[in-house]
Amino acid sequence: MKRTSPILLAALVACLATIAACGSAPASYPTGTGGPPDAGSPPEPGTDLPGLGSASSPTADAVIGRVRNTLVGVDPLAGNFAKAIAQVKPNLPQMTNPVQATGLDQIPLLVYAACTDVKFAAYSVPTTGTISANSAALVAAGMKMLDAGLAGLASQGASNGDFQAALQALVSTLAADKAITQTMTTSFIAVCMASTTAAVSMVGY
Amino acid sequence: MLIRLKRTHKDAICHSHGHHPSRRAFLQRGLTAGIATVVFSKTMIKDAMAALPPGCPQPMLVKGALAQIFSEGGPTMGARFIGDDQAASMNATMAANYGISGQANLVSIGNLRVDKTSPFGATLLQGPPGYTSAQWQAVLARVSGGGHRGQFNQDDGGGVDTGLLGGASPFKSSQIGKDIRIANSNKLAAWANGLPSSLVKNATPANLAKVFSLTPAAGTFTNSSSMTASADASTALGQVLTRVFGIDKRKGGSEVLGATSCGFYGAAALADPNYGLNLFTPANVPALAGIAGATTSTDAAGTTITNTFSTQELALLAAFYQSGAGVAGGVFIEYMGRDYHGQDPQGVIAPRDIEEARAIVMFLAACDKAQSRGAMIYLSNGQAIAAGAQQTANTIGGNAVTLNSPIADGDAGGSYNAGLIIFYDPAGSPPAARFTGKVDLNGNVKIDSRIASSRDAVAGLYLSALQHIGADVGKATAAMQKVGIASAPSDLLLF
Repeated sequence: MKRTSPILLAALVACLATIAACGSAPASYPTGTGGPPDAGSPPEPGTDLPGLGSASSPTADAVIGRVRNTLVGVDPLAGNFAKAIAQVKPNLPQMTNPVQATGLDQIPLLVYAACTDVKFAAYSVPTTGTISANSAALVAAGMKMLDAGLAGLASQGASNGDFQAALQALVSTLAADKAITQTMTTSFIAVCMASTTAAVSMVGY
Repeated sequence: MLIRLKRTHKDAICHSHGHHPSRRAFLQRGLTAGIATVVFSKTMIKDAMAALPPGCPQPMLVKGALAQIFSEGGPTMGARFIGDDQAASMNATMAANYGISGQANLVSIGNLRVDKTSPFGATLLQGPPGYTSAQWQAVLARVSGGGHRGQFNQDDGGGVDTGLLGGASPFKSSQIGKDIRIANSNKLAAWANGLPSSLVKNATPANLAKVFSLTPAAGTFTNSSSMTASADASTALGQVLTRVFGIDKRKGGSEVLGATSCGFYGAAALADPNYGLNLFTPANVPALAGIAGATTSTDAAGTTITNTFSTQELALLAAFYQSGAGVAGGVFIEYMGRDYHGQDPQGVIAPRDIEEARAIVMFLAACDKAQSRGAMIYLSNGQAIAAGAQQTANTIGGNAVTLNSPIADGDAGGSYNAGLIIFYDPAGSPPAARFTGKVDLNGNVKIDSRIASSRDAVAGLYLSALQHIGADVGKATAAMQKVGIASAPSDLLLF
């Protein structure tokens, strides 16, 4: 008669015991013991984001910091940016609650002042010439500002074309403005305001 | 006969749909098309439904002034406006508790009464510079008032952050779409949080103008056309960012985008370097220019008296006017440090009562010059009880006067206070407003059971104000109900 090896039997029992232990998880764990070891695979990154949580409003200090990060060469302690901060800061949002915050309307005013401090050369934009001829440079400047405020997302993300299209539409509008003859200065400021305002206050945090 | 056509690779690319596909190809195309349909339609729907900024309130020049004075602390509110019923039952005890001289000196302003010898009453009756007594009496005849008595009975500044400051925009449409806040430092009513406004610490024409101007002045940097184009582009960028960050799916995301975007469009008006100065310098406002430089008025006897504007009064006159003319939303002033008990009647109490009454005078003059309806809310969070009145020597607009000023000797939490409102109608038919709450013979008040708290009272005052000037009461009611107030608005309305 053929006999089963005791080693095989021991292995079989061990396997069954392991399976049984896995299949019957305890109904509850006493507090303080750390809970179940693992409840399963974590969700895919980002799958829990849509529809959950809240946006937030940037507060005054955040706005000032973001403007500084977004624009090359602006200083919150000097120039028009500093003057505007003194005037506008009390009216900028004081709380992050997006429903209760007031003063978001003041952000474009602060951004405007900061934009007037920016040197065109920092963005390779000429101060003279026609808007049409310098259209690409203006759009590129706007993209550079968006990238600075959004960690490169504007030019590297899937929506790159949409960002460019919005800026191109602005430049085309300015070039075709029949009511007022726009200059490279007004155009650069307009691009700067659009990009910076969006990067500073239209990201939901 | 079979005709063979020569086919090139171009035909294969451009006309491949003419082939009968294999089963595998058919399935593949179907899957591709299906996925593409789902993906693209979803993107398109997302684009369409993205958190587009909610429609910015359209700039509208709609007449109607709305204002509030929040007298922070505990003044002698009983020595200010008095209702008909209080006046009728006025006795020596009540007069002493309120800090007024007595029934004999009460005079009518519409259905309201003031002590003509009190700092508050005398100031209202003197009127603003540039008016004759008869002209001012005609203005006062177009006023009515009411209020919610009680609810504001706090001692020593208690309840200061219970939301006693409201807001008007966007319930009240205006050209700039925002309110003007002067020295507001305490908590707003829950329903007023987030309403668009601009704040100045001190009311001067220059300070107000600064808030409504660009730094540096537009000049070579920008103009209204480029600013509007920039706002368009910023809004478009915001829509792209909405898709990227899922802002439309997050609570408050649309509000943040909308407020920024709408504010950007509003900034276009500021490209005019004189915009702010022209709004808030009375001499630059055609309707106010006639009185802006005035230094006199006449008294009841027709005698010319000194009467000059302070810088603050000029700023208030202009701000109230712009609210009345429909340029601005409401104007909300907080006067700090009005805890009267134990204060010097001549040096502290009378000047403060005069300051607040002058603000009311500026409001009425502004409504008169704008030919607009107006509603002004006037409240405090506390009440000082008085031990009668004493004679004091003060000046009202530079005019030396002898007054009977309240001797505020203690806090009166639980006794008397009121959230007051005055209405102005240029046609001379202000609403027959009511007072809620009942006053006893000591001047103490029993609160109306339907007005459970100060937040109900504040809501009622605002709904009444908005209704009088023809603003969007429904929208305001909805905002209040969202935070659990005004479930029965008719209980709160004063007419």
